[in-house]
Amino acid sequence: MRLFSRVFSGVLLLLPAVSAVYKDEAYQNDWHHELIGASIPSSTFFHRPSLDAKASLIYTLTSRSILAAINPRDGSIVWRHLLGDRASSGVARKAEGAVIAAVDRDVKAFGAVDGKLIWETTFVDKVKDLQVIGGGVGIVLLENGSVVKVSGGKIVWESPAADSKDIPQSLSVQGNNVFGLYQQPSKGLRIATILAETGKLSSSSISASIQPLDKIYSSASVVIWTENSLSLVKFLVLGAKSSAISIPAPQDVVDIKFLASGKTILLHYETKDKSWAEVYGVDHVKGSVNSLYSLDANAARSAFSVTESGGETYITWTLPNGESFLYGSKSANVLDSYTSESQNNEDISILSAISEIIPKTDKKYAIRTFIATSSPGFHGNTFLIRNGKTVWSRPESLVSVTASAWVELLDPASEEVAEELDVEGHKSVVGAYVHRLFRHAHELITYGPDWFAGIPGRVMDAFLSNEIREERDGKWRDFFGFRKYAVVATKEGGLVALDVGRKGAIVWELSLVSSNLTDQWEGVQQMYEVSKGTVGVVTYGGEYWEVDAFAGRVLTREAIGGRAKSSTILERGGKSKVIMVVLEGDRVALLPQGSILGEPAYIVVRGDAGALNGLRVDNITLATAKTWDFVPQPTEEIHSIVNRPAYDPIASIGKVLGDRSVMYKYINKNLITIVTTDSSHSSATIYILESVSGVILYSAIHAGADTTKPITATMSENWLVYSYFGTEEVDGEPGAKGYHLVVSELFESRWPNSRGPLHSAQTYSALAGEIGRPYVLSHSYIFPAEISSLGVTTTKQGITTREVLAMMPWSSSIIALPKRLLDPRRPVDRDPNEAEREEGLNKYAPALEIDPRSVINHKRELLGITDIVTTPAQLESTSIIFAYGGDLFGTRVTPSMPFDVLGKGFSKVQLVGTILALGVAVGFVAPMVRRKQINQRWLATS
Amino acid sequence: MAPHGPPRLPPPPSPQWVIDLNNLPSSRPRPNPSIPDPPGFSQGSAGKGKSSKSHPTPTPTETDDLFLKKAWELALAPAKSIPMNAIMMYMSGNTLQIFSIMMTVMLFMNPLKALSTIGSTFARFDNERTHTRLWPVKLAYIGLQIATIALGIWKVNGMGLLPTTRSDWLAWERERQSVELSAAAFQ
Repeated sequence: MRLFSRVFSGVLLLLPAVSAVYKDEAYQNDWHHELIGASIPSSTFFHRPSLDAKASLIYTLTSRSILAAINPRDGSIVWRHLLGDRASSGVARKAEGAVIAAVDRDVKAFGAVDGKLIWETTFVDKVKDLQVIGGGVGIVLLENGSVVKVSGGKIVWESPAADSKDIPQSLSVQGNNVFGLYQQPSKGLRIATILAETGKLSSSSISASIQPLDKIYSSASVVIWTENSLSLVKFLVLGAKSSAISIPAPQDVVDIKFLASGKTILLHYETKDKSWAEVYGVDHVKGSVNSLYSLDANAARSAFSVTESGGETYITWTLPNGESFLYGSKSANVLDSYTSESQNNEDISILSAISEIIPKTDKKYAIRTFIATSSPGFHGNTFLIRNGKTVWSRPESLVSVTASAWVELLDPASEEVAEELDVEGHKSVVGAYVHRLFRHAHELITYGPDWFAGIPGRVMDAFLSNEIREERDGKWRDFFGFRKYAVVATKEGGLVALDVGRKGAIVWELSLVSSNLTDQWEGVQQMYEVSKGTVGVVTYGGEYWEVDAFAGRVLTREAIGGRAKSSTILERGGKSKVIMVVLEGDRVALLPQGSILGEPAYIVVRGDAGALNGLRVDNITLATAKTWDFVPQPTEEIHSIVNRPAYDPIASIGKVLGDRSVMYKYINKNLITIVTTDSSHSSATIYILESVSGVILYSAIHAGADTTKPITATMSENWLVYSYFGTEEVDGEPGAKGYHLVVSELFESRWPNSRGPLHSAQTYSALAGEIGRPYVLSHSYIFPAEISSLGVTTTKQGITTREVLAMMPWSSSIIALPKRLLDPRRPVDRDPNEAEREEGLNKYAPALEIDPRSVINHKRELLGITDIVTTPAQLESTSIIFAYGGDLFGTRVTPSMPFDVLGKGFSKVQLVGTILALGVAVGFVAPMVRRKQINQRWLATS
Repeated sequence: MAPHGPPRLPPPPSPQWVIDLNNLPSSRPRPNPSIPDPPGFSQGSAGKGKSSKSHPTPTPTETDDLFLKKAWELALAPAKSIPMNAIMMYMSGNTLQIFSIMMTVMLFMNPLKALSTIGSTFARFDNERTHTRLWPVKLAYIGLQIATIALGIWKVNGMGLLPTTRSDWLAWERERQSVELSAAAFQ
């Protein structure tokens, strides 16, 4: 051990210290799906980024408050911005060379070309609607009813609402007039007309009486709304002195959508199985609307778009099967139509479609349509159709991934002979030997010739390519085990398998929801890899699915027998895995059905009223009995609970100190960490519990912790890392304001070479007696950024040092902090002595700095990451990382450097060339030397 | 250029017996005096008989004493190198480098080699009379070689290569297993 570490540290010294990450070294192993979420139809548009731009971009604001510019050519994100933390409705409008978006109380203008912020304004109340008048000037309607004009980020004028009881609805701009539309409590529609120049209220009148209002829409020229649960549609032409025009809505309509452009208005009707549209024209002089034409009903869940191009107004109608039709504004004649070659499934529905139409000569049109779809399980996927062909698609539904499970791929070396090996296991020694002889002979005959024939090719490959070639695909894993499937579940109930070794390519998609039951879907509780290539999915609704992880087929589907509260997987050394689901009333069920529990199980569940309970589950009756409960203080509540990862191998049970004595790690698989917060005293408390007996082993109170800021924690081995925001004053004394990162490490004893009260016992029982308290060392650091999520790397044997992965929303990046840096044994206020230096301990520095080289996503921008999960590769040096929750990001890290694989700089050609050259040289020189030696003997002068 | 006939070879070297004849050993071992000289042989014909006669032939006791003196010299030779080795070992430091490793290996290799060839080392001093008297010499020799090895062990220990501490046996210690296992079903 000692020799190893010495030699190893010597080797490490020889390695050149990495001084930078070069561009060609980055982006080799990592992949990133930049996702934005489902587009909001009214805030999605084609727009020329600048007046002299040749092509337009797609700008969209999504339900995750991301404003993005998409290149319609290939679907790549040109730029994007996260405008709010929570999913909230917002509005985005095009302006000259800019895009102005309002989310919550903020209105921001971004340069359309590069997405740079031009100006921003924060209002006193939420923004209800936003309109843009020429030159990037915005008119904003606030929730409190005021109308505000903003120019260049400065408020030009503010016009308060006429009546504070009015509910603001929308805003229209017509020439120099701004119309604010309010719904009155007395069921009237108030239209406030404001002069755009001065902000003076020129008139405020109750223009129409309205019955129970369903939805309201306003364009520059007209207000449209529906009444009495979609039974009546009413129009009111703005700026004309006329009364509302009312038309009855067709029967059985479930939804009416309005679209308008210029003087054309489109009413899009949806029934359960049909959809169609009626087109109206606005007559400003008379203040009336007149029906132009109506289209025949077609398939339901379609989408329309109204586009102006070259002074003409066009209407495109996109059907769920991908067909699209183009109409003019005058008649119902189809100008152009496209059928689709793609086989969309039946359940797809079109959420929105926007088109860009360029008329060509001879009555042909170039059409690009950007479509957002929704299908059961997948909400918001987008794609672009150019002249009837799908050019690209974006899996935006994966923005809402809530759960994930790793799926190991099959090892081709052992999998193919697994059955044979099984046969051998059941035979006598001689029989098994004969069987194996025959098997090898058979293999030699079957695969031998091919193998020999393939040798030159393999050798050439090994020489010529420095890349690690992925030899296998499908369900067979590669040699180094870099390929694994991450099966993820979306909030809407879709399952997707991503191949993390192949840049996150989507392998298959599957929906757990059928189209008629979408409303009853409650989400995936948890997913587990229950056996080789099988994923078990537990849903909150009380269903259990088993899915073939390689093919994406549903194997079984069964009811659990109640709503699932929580679940866990029990892996008892070699025996098959059993999922235990906790139902309402602390009942438990075992999955797959028919599983049995070999021995009583202990589980930790969340109890009622914010407590945490330990339960003992009987192995025969499955009856539960409470063993302990953890009730936080009355003012406290449990913020989060973490435990050690399911796969967390520990290579060494002790830490070797500089004087070669050993600090034994306190290793206990049953440790859990509970973080409780107390908002009234603004404090956070950390408890470490032994979860079989419920004994609190350690607790730490952090006074002055901001409970509104995220507190995250993670555990591995014998240590715990957590972060919180500390305020500047703690109990009347000055504290360190900022984000604190605390590391606590648990040892068996305060003294080296001591294994605590249990001495060298091989087993212990927490229920039978004293298990000893850990000796806990802690260090606290100031971390420069908020941490929203923490993870730890895992490797196959646990020999490689670990890295703590921290998601920093502030810089949209994940940083990998070496655990060695967070060692609580670092000497404080003094330089390390000889022994500590030998251990690699540096002097404690309270502030951690973000080393840009440890940012594992390099320059990629990760938005909305909520979880970071890791899994080992076949190489001990390598850990595979996958982050989800918003964007999807995956990479591989080597915390102790890639010590078990040759680097890219290693030239095999050079090595073999040197050996060959030496061989040739020896071949030449050897005869010469031999001749010279003989001559020396024989030709010696007398 | 006209040929000059076969190239002239240098004269072949004289055969071994010629060389032996030309270089007779200066002092030949004295033959057994009980055997008479052959007829016509005189002691003086050797030419150097006079000079050899001037030295009295050492008695066997004297030879043995000389043998033992020589043997002691040989036996105590390592004692001289021990201080030098010790200083070198001290100076070379405890880091694992190629030179200190080689030197340390030599500290083991040389004494072991010497110990394994101890019989042949003292064989030339060994006869029936000196045999018993050589024992202390051999013991001293062995002792000094062991001292050199001890120096090597001290060095190896200094380098941290001896499994004398707890950490050296850590790899054989097992993680303590809990009888009960608890599963986290809180999320």
